[in-house]
Amino acid sequence: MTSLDLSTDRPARRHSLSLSIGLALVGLNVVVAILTLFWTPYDPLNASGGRLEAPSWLHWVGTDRLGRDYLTQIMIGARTALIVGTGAVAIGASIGVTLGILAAFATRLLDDVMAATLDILIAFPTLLLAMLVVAASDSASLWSAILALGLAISAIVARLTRILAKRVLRQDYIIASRTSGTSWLGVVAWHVLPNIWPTLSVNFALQFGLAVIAEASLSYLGLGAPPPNASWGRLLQEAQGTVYTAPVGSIAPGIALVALVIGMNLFADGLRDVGDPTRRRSR
Amino acid sequence: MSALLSVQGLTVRAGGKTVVSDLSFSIGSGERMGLIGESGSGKSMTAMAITGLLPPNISVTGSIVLDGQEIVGTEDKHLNRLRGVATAVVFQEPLTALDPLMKIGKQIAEPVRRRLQREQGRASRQAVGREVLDLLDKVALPQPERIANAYPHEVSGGQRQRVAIAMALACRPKLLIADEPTTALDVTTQAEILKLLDGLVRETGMALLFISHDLPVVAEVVQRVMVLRDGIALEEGAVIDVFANPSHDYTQTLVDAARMFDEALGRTGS
Amino acid sequence: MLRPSDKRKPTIFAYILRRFAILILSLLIAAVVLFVLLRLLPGDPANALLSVGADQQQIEAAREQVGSNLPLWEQFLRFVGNLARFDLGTSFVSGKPVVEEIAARLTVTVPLALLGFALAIAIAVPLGILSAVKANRWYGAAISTVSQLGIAIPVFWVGILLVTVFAVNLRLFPSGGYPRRGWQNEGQVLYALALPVLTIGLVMAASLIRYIRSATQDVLGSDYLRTARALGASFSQALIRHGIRNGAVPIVSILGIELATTLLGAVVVERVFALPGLGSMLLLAIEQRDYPNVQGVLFISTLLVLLIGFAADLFQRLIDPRLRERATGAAT
Repeated sequence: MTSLDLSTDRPARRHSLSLSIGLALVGLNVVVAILTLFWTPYDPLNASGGRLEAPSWLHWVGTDRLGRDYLTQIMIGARTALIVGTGAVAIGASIGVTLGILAAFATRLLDDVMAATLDILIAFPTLLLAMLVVAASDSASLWSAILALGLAISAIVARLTRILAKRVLRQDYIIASRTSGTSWLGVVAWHVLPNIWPTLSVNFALQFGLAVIAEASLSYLGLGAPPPNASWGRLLQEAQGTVYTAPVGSIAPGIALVALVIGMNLFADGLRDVGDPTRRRSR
Repeated sequence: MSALLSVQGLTVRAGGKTVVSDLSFSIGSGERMGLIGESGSGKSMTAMAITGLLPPNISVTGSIVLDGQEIVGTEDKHLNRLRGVATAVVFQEPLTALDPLMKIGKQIAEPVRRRLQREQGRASRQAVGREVLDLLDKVALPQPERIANAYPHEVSGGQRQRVAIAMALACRPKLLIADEPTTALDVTTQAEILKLLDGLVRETGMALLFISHDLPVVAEVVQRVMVLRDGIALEEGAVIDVFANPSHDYTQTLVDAARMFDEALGRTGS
Repeated sequence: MLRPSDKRKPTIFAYILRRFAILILSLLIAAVVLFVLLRLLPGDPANALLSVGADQQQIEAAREQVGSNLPLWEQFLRFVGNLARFDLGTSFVSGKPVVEEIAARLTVTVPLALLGFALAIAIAVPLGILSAVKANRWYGAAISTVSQLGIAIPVFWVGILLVTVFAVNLRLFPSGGYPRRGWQNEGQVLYALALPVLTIGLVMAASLIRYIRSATQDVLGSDYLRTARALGASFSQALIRHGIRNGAVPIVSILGIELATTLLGAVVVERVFALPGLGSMLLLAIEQRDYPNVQGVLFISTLLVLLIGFAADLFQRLIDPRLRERATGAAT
């Protein structure tokens, strides 16, 4: 009964609403991150007030246990989060898309083995894989965290790409195009990538959010970027120790983190609705 | 009014569009009527409105009186006493219309049990089981025990539609609504299902509302037709009259198209 | 056409066999991945046995004891052979068998994950169904919005927030305090597990609600539900008779993945509440470069994940007769 689907028609304005809220939240983050390259309210490395001060006009979110301005730390945390998210998605996308496309073109046996391996890798939470890679690299650094998350994301992206690419390759016009002599690289460039891009880009946005959460978790566990790199996860870990005396510290970085992740998720939702109107979620 | 179903000024609006506008017709008991129109003409919406199963965000105005009960504006739970008693529906897509995870026998048993409970106050396992096999036999399915024990995906499309008909028959409704019951089937199966439906309706004496986009198909089973386009009734009358003497251009094109199709197939009318 | 129904029983049996073969194969692949990963860890594992300034002879002896002097393929065979016998070696640090330590840790992690899982289901099933059925009411929309919010919040922050509310402000539950003697002190264990379980339950419920909501939406929009209603079943009758099973099919595999995630993801929650579970064991082992412990925890988690996947797949086949017949393996 196609006629009943009329009920799922939503006004177009709502789609762009999630897109614009998402863009606003992510944009705010980007602006703050860039700003910290030139200016921060206080010196991030040295005390600018008493220890564990409550929020005031001088220190909007108070100070940490070393007397450093907390807002400054959170702002720098935005930079770290953006670097990690962007880096991890870039690594995950380049490896994942390549592997996924190769699997889609590979022989049956190779494809099956790749699919099974990816399934196992994906069965493990990103965080656990990341913990291992970070542990394997000699010292915990921002880059090992990015690499670890990128690798974990690449497995997810590879599986998605493989499924999407195979779906495209089954289409009649691709078969026609291939029999008429287009090379497989040509098929990938002209048909496969443009067709799977809308779905992939939505997934990249979601993975960005997950990478930010995972990085925060890693630094919370003490496996992320070491000080002085401020990371929301480490800020929260430090604040947990003083949760009884200065509870604001264990709330503010979390709000910043959730705002960025929700922004990215809304952005993904908006992309999905705008980019591909045929794939609405109901039904 | 002694009509079994009386529709007066029915208007259906969905998502700002008027899907059915100011439609009126009635069906007496035992009468067989057809509703013809292309997809999107509002015929399925009309059928759903009669069962009272349109989603709440679709607005329905006007009046639909079925077996003495007003449907428009009546609370859903009161209509449960009407559905499956006054009406039963056979839908277009026999694969999705059946629960994929429930054995066919159990699915037919559901309406049988409800009717026995209603009529006799009790429904013993044996009585229900016996009726299920009877119904499978009635819709001419071979090896009823085996079919009853099969899942929908294990039988063919035509057999599934027979099962759907058996489920509708299980209700012993006063009015059977058949919403494009043969559209999803191949031509041979289509003819078999039509014959079955026709025979069963005549035998049990229930009224029939047959909905289709296919004029010749409708003509085979009903006495009276109504032609719908864009939710508006273009004309209504006895099958023979409408066929022989269409008063509206649109009906003429439907008749012509059907005739051309028949000639192309080499069929010699019904 | 009607296929002979007696064919069905051997098919599900054959499916179990095939699925089991895939399970074993997956374990082998996992062993390879594990082996490679552990070789990537920096430094010779023998170093852990040595004190600073050990001489060459001591180093050789240590390498022999650990087996890192053998060629790689032989190390791998020994590795797989030991795994097959559940011999996970002895900890470099404590000198105790790894299996023993893992068994002790599991008494924390398994109850934590299972209780959290149960709580999540108890929250998510009614709310997910409600938000789909009452999507046009304010609370239907509110439930989905809150669950959207829920998936953007890291687990550990939920834990910290719960500590702030329940431990700091209300003083209802402790933020730690897992008893040394473990389950011998049941009451205190449950008391200490309250907030961790609530943390896991809430976070998992948020993501489950979305799946249950969409499964319910699928059921609500389904033709078979419309058929049942058109033939006289009331809304709740139809939903119970047809909705539960149909809705369960996609949910079962999601539940499998979520349970595995919870078991493995407990590492963060264990850190928040200082629980001596499998996760904190892994974290400690990584810090101390205690390779047998790292390897043991990873192998056991892999095994648990794969077993849960196996169970979820079988259960799904039991519910859905269509899946039994085209039963291909993990490679979909």
